Amino acid sequence: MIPLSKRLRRQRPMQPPKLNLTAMVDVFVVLLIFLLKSYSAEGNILTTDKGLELPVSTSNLPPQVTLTVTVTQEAIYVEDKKVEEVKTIHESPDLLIPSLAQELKYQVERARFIAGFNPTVKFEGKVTILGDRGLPFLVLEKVMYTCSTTDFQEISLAVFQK
Amino acid sequence: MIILIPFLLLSAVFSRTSILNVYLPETPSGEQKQEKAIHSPGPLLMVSILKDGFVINDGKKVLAALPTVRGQHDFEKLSSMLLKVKERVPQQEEIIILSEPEIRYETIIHTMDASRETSIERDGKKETVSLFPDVSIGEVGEITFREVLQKQ
Repeated sequence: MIPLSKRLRRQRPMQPPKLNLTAMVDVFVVLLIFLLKSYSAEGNILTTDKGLELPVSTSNLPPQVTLTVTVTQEAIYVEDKKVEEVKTIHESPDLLIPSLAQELKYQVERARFIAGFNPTVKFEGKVTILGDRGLPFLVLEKVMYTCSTTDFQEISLAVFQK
Repeated sequence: MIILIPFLLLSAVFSRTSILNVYLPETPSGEQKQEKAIHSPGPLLMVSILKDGFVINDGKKVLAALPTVRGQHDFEKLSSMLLKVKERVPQQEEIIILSEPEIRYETIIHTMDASRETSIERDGKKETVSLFPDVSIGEVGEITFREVLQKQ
């Protein structure tokens, strides 16, 4: 009878185990195809802040490249520029938000100016509103009203797809 | 491939955004509302979101009042009521959603979802039925439906 330690050594020589590459490559290829399929070349049209939670909806219309007005719990942004605090809007008795209207007018002028030189770009008056799900309707109504007074007639609301 | 996979994983979008188109909100004064009534071919259909529930009316009379269930708005009941309305006027596409100022944005979006489409069960299969996809938004005017809701 050979001692146990000797027997083990004889049967299983100490060698590092080999990685089975073929199987791993198979898994990776499947993963790669899946990711390539789900990858959209356009990227995110709408980016959302950390403090912004969009409401969830059953709608599946794709977002378009438009001017964005972001309304978080704290402030209103046109594109990335902060224009007004939500608190002051909530307290004001008027429907029109003057600072937002001013910024939107500037955006309209800029878009028209560009359209004047480049006939492929047209000013269509489209705006996408990204609103936080906890906002009261009053704030949203004021934002929409201000948009409509400054030539933005087509309003879309951004939502998360269910 | 080893580089490509982490890159694609990072850029993968897990929460997809989409949009909801709305028509212009109407001013609280009644003038534009009447104008709209003339323009739209079908009968006027309005859903008012109040703190205590929904009221569906067609401009003249109240069709239904749906109080909240345990503080939650009853979206399913709203969909089923609107489905009944849709069966009567199949060509109607427009709906006006009126809201009280303090209603949450999320509730309005869900109301829009409930009035845009609903899924019904037919022969054991679920089907999505379009209700009133053209949504306008406005504020509840002077007419309040509180009394209607309280009677329920």
